[in-house]
Amino acid sequence: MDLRKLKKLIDLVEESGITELEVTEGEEKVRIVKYSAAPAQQTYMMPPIAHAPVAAPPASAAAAPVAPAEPDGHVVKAPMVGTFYRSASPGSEPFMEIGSLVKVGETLCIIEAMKLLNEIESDCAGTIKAILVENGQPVEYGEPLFIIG
Amino acid sequence: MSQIPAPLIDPARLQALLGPARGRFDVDALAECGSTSSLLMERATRGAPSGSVLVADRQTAGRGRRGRHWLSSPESGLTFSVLWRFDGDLGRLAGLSLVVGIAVRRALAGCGVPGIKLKWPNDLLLDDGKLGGILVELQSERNSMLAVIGIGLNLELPATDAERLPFGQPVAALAQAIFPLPDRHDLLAAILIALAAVLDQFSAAGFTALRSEWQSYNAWQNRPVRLLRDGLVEMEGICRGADVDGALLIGSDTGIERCLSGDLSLRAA
Repeated sequence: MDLRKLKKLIDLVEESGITELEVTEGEEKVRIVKYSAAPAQQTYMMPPIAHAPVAAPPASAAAAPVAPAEPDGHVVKAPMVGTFYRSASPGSEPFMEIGSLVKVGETLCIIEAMKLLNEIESDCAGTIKAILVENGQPVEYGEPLFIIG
Repeated sequence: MSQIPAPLIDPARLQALLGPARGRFDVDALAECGSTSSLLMERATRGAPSGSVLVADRQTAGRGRRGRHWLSSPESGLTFSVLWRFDGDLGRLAGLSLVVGIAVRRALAGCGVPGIKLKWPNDLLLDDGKLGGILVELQSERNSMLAVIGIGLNLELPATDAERLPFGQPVAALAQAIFPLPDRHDLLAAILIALAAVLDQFSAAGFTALRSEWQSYNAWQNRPVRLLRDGLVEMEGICRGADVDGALLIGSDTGIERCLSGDLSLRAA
């Protein structure tokens, strides 16, 4: 299921009085559950768009993409406006995952605008503590992308 | 034992055709490589100079934008990459993929191919079919930006219909517009000469200096278009061309919107 559609469904649950929504589309099934208590801590990266008919884990409607509290560390910011990509091409492995060790000069992500693909390299060494933007999302100039600690 | 054939491009012969741009390009030709842009980027990080060109008859892992594969068979296409360094930072490169399109269009017009249009941001069209594509990859260097500009042109149409509609978009080839086809050395030399001139102009004055030329060849100026992003409609409206930094302008009832990313297609009026 498309990421944007998923977000829309989450928003729908959030705005409505219902606590649970299950949608089946072909072989894909997604169940969204709204917790009334404090939402479970969730990583802010959505899982990659499902290829296999696997039901998504119950997502907390309230905790969608925003990090509850950002870890301390060096913040890598977007040097340009564009679209944020975590891998060189849609099918390939992301350059970085949370917990990846990174060296100075290593590619963190690609930002694309007007078909200029700009490889963003790390300006410090350390461990990826947080990835603050979802794959395929637009970023603004200066927007924090990664936290490296 | 099978031997790799000699590449279709002879660098010495090409060098002699470069005229005003002679000495500004260093051309290497391969019969086969993974991707000319990837290999050139590797060479760039090892110090290859601005103006390095890599042309390959066959790319086994040629890349289109965002991982779309660019199919190239030896005779039917011309695919190459050009390394270029620009002073200053990233902000100065806005519109680069558009100006590369201007250069290729100028070169093709000079070779006697009329009617080439530009589709935002990086395609060359012939009768609304995709004749070629441009992919620019950037890396920051100390005090400068490194760009690897990949260009692919269809010279002849693929044999099968399936290959002609790889992404649901009609494909065009130079052979539809000119007969006989120009020699590939002449074609590549013309593109490099035009590229040097356009990139000089762009370095000095940015996209603004070339904007009116881009507008005059905008394939879909004032036509109803749709911008897709990851397969979803991002925006619909009337194509109003490119802004001073190359951003796409789409007009709607609510005004004019600027767009930086997405796939543009024509919408039935």
